[in-house]
Amino acid sequence: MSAAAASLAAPPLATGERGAAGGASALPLLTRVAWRNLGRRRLRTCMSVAGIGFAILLVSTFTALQTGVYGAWIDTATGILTGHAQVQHPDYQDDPRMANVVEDAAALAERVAELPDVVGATPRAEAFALVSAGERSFGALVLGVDAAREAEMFALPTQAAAGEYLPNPDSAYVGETLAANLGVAVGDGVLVLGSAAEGGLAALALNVDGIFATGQADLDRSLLQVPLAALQSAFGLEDAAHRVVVNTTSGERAPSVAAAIAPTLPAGARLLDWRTLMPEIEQGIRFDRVTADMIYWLLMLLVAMSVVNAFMMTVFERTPEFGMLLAVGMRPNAIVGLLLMEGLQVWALGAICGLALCVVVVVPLQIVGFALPDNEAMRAMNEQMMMPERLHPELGGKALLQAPLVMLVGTLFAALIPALRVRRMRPVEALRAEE
Amino acid sequence: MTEVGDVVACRALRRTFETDAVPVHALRGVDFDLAAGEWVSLAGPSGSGKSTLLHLVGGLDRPTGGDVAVDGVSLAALSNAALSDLRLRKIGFVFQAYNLVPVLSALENVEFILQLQGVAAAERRRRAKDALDALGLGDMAGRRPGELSGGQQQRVAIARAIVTEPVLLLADEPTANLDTGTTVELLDVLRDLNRSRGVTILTATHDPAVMSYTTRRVNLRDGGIATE
Repeated sequence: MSAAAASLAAPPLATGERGAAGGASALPLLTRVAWRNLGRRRLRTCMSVAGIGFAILLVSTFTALQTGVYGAWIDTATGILTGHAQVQHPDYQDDPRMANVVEDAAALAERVAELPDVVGATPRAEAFALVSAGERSFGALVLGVDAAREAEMFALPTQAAAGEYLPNPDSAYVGETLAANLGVAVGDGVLVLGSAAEGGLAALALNVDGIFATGQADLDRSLLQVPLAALQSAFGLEDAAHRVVVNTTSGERAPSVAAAIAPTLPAGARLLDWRTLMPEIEQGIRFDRVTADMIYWLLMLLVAMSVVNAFMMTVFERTPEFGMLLAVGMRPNAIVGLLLMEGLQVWALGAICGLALCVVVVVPLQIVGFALPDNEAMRAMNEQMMMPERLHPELGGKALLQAPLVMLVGTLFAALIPALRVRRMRPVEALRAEE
Repeated sequence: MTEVGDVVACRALRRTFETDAVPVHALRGVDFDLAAGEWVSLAGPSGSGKSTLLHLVGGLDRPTGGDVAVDGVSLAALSNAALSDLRLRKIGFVFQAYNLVPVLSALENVEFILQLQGVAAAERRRRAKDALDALGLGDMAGRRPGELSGGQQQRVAIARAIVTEPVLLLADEPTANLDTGTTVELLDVLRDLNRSRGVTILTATHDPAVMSYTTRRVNLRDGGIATE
């Protein structure tokens, strides 16, 4: 019997001896062939690159803009009065009783102010009281503050429309609308009447030394600031306060800084960041982010589908070539790898173009900022949303990485779908595709 | 009866293509052997089964019945991956339409197959150059297929097919797209490979010129061997 005839019952060829037909050492070859293949249909490649680049440009630029707007929004909203975080009695947020206080608040504020990433901390006591001048009386929120620290940390002290900010131990800093309602001006006296911590009547006679105008209707109508010591004394709080207001290096970092501070607090105190203190801001950002993300995903999906189409055409056109490669011994997975490499290179070109244009557009705006249109509708919106006059986009890690990474996955997936057809190709049928 | 040293052995080889109308019996139980050093032409009219037989011998298609052995390896038992390995290491292919990778130069096209085998860079470069030199294409190594004539492209394809020193060279209508002069040049190259290097060649062809060069001619008709 001949060797060949005998071999009809011979064991199959071992596959382990294969070299680089699909292995790691074939990578430089795949990279080179993939790169050159991109030049075979230049218009199609350019369209895919442009689509990916455009999606990345748009999504990264608007993400940078969103990040900047959110940051400004948080800082502006918290910068008037609320601060980035507050130390409170555990029950005070839900049950703001006079008795729910943080003890030894001034010392606690000093200690917190020394912690990393904290730029300031100040105690505040507050009371809902009746404010009277002559025959007129209005309910108001009376804030007892450390005037020096407030001036360092918040915008309200700088928003005096008349007079000055709490120059004396018996000064009052009154909202513009409240002052008008009471009929008082700088130099006039007001009387504050409320319930003391122990349940008795608390009374405080003050001089209006300043009137502020924030543009925020609620604040201007119902807020009055007084020296902390005066309020503590009149309302029987001694050294206690209701809040120690904390500012961190930035509003966006506040939650993580607050989380680091929380374990250092004494028993009977808890720390809340601006997301809990001003949930409307958090909800507004979340809603805006979800809406924008839906548009971004839709855009990137459309681009990915156009890339799928381009690769479908590629696989269809090159079927005989793939048949030849299969015939000479290249494994289907290596051809799939070749197509994925082409997808990776198309993505890389698109990402470079998109990010480069994004940097060109965003970086100047990040430095100089841009103003919102000055019209009635925008002013009303700004007042409601507490937006600053100029916005500065922030080209951070999220803006630079999110869209390119999503498009990377999308492009590879788009290349993989048609590429998987190669795995089902039979060499002889693929070769016949050109006939 | 097969002989010691057969490179190919086909036994009761059948291939039926299922179509919407009726099954097409391309091969109806073919027994065929190819000895080492032979150059055999498969001849016959269109539809006689010569390309089907070539594809089955090359492991590009699976038979409906029977078996093929190449260099002592039964193809029926091989997985697709093992079949792919066998094609890479033991068989060289030359196609009618040249079928080179258009984005690679002549040298890279020849080198490519060695890289698939995992041959080291320096060695594969040397062997690819030698193969091109042997086929008179040394000065065209840097040209891409689109910059070569049909005959030159087919010679590059032959260089790619022989650079791995396969036990079997399969050529499917290798001269179909070539003019008479180029056909003769190419056949001289194949004869030289067959005679001086002992390359075993199986060719499917309509071309009488090719048949005149081969050492044996097998005529197929209606899916069976008519005459030898």
